[in-house]
Amino acid sequence: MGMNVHRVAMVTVAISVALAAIAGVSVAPVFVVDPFMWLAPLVTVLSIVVLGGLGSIQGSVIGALVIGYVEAITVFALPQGAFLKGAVALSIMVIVLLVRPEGLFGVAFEEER
Amino acid sequence: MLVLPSRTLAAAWVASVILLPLVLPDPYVLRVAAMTCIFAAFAASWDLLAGYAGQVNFGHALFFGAGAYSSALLSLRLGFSSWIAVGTGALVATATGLCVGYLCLRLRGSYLSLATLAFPLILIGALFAFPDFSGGELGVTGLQPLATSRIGNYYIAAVAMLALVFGIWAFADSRFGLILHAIRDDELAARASGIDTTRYKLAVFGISAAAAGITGALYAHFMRGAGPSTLETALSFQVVIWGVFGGLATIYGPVTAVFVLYPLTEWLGSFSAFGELRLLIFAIVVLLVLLFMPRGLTPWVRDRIETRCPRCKQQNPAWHRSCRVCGASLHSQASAAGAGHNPR
Repeated sequence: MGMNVHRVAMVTVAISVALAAIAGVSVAPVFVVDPFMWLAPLVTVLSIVVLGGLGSIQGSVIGALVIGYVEAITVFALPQGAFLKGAVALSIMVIVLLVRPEGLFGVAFEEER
Repeated sequence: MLVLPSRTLAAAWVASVILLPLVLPDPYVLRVAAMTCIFAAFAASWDLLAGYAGQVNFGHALFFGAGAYSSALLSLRLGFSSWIAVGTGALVATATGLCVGYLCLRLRGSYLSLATLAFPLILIGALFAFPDFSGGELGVTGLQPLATSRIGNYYIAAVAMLALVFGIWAFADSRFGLILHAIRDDELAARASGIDTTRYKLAVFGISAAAAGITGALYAHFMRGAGPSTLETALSFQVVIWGVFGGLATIYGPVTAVFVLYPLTEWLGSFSAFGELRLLIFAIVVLLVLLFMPRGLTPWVRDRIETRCPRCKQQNPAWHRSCRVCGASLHSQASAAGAGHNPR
């Protein structure tokens, strides 16, 4: 269909990285910046995207809200909740992967399951 | 299977592992060597699961940590003797492996990697939430080591490593390993050929987790304690790096990689001039090796010292002119045969 696959892939990566960089810039004044700060968001982002559904932007936004509130509620409601917030988010991801691998809004790829 | 050149290398490696304390009884060297042995067996157990069965596990530290924590907690809280604690740790790790395997049966490819990545982090959160029981972020300490002397401790690690590695290797070379290859390459075709893939996948999860659990329990007793570092993502990724560096689906590949990379990291760390640069040097070494040997270190070495017979697919020493099994000429299609013995 005349699309330049490499170019599209490159531009996609560029947009995605730019969005991630904007997120990084916006947390820098709020959080402590340290060399291992990539790890916690990496895991949270995985659970958000899996919950929202891979391949769905609106799903990611709604998933982020859900996971964010669930983490906040965990921290306030449970004793020692601050340690459990990652575990709760990841448990949600595992349950979604097992029960509904396409997530809330994602497209089901039958061959990828 | 190995033929003469690689068999000599393997024999030399076994001999050097066994003779090391007699040649170099330095406490620091023995400590590094014992850790190398423990991690080598751990990397081999990952290769059985990820290389052979294709269940690319990004959370293999879960089994290591389950073995380490359960054996440490059993010895400290319930007063189990060391060896029984190691055995029970392996059993707990096996049970963990079966649970993870059961939960992940329906997942494939990147979904499986994502889900397995999550399990050790969930366990770490649960351990931190009960600091009175698990020791929290500091872990538990005060274990009795398995042997009283340094050399005894080294030999326990070395013998356990040799037994585990050769056990896993024999297992992977058997009919079972062949079925695992089939499951990795095409699960649907394997199922259509009458293989109960569910049972085999569960079994390989259990076996791999048992081996990793033994190494974890040995690690806990060697370090005299277990901490959250046994469950960290860094360890899970470290084992992936070892596996890819050494060569997937070979068993001896990841073991070689640990024996090259772990002492290298320690050795680089001994130069104060390098400081934190050692991580950069480590990364550059790994990247260069993978750039020039894309299938990993050991397949590259094997291609140099061995040729595969184009007719009967048996390995031959590189200096042979005709195949030792079927007598076919090796050099007419040497370039085609040199393309690799490994299906990957």
